[in-house]
Amino acid sequence: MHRIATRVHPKTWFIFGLSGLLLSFAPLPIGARGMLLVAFVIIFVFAGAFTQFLRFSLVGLLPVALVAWTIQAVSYRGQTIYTSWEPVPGILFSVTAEGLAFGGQMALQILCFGASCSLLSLLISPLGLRSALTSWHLPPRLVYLLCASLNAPRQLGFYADLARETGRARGLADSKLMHRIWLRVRTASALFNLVLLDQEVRGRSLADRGLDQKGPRIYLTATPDSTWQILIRWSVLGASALLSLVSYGVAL
Amino acid sequence: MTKGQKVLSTLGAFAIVATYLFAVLTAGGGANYTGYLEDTAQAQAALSMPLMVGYTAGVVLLLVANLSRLPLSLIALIPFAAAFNIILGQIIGFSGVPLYLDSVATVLIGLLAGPAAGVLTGIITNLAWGLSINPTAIPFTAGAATIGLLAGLAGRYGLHKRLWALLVAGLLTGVIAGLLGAPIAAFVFGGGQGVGTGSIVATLQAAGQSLLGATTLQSLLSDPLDKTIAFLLAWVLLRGLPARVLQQFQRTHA
Repeated sequence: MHRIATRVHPKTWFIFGLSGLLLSFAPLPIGARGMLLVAFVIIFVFAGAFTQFLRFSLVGLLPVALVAWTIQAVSYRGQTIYTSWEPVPGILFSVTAEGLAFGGQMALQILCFGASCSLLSLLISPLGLRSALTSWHLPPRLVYLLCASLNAPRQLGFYADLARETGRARGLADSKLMHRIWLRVRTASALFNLVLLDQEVRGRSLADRGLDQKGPRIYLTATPDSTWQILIRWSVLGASALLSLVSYGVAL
Repeated sequence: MTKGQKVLSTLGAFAIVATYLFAVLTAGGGANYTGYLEDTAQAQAALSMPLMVGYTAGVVLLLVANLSRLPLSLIALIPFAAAFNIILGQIIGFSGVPLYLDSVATVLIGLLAGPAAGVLTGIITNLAWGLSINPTAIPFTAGAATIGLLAGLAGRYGLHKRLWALLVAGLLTGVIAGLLGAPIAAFVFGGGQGVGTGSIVATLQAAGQSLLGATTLQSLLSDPLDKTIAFLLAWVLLRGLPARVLQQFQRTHA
């Protein structure tokens, strides 16, 4: 992440993400949606996280956007027909100008939505997320659930590796495909038992840490907040809400 | 469960159902959708915002109603259940199998610990999945919460004691989840959730169905099967649990 971007407070990134979500689902014209996507790309370049965003998009978003565009490109019932074919009677595929435009709208909506989520997931650390949500007085249980869930897949993966290693050490074969599948089933079962048996200990640990205690919580963060940032983030959110309302007024 | 929590839960469920009905009545399940779109230039995109707002309001109400009901031991368990869902869902997603299987742990927790735990597991799974790997999971959070709720009710009424009853519950859960997810698949993702499901949506649309009609039919083809298998897998896992674990959950059922 670029040095200047590290000075942006997690709360600012969070509000930018929410503003992006508002605009992603507003009925903007296709050109405005394109500009919104460009704005997201500029933010990621500025934050030095463009490569991560590209990787995130290629795996999670681009395939969905491409399929959405293709569906509308070949099956939308538009007026301006470029080509059509009927593989079986009653099923008429046609490429239309309206379908191409509508598919483009959908694809851009998906990409903008994903980019807004990426602002939250790529530019905010779990600690940043926890401090931002806590400062807005969200219930500590919810904050814990969200932050722990972001970390849990990695932790569960680590436990799974350990359980598989133990299985191999106990002589469970993994040379053939069926053996490997069986090993994974045994691993999943063992992990489930372990996690379920351990839940009361974890619960006591959470109680000892004072999860349900009332009162302020202070987290050490290296990112300063400032009056300017507060002003900018709430202005961006307000402007996005206003633009969404205006776009509804124009569209409907 | 306090009176306030009951009211909030009811309001949450009402918001989700009302949002679904709004989408169906506004967009029209029939073939008149194209005409509707012609009359209002951005109508298709205009539906995605009310859908997201309505479903989010339902999820927030369910979250507020159930968050404080659970003992801390269950709160500590939910992140791991969510992780299990995410890992399995991601593996199945990459495998090309036209199923999701991203709710096995939600169903298991619902059966073991009740509707409140099921609802929270569903919500947290989709939020964490969306914020970590796959943002497309976030809009389906209301459906995931409903799956947890229905699995919890199935557990409360002892359906897991008879396999056939549990499988019927899974099938019905799949139908409801499919119906709730169809407007999201149509108006947020344009039917493009995957190559296999997308091909079905395109074919149905080419056969004269509206986009919502096509995604609804596609969801009704895959979701009931997926949830029946998820309930079956949860039952298998449940059968393999030690008595000690089951006793723990009898004390914390909420």
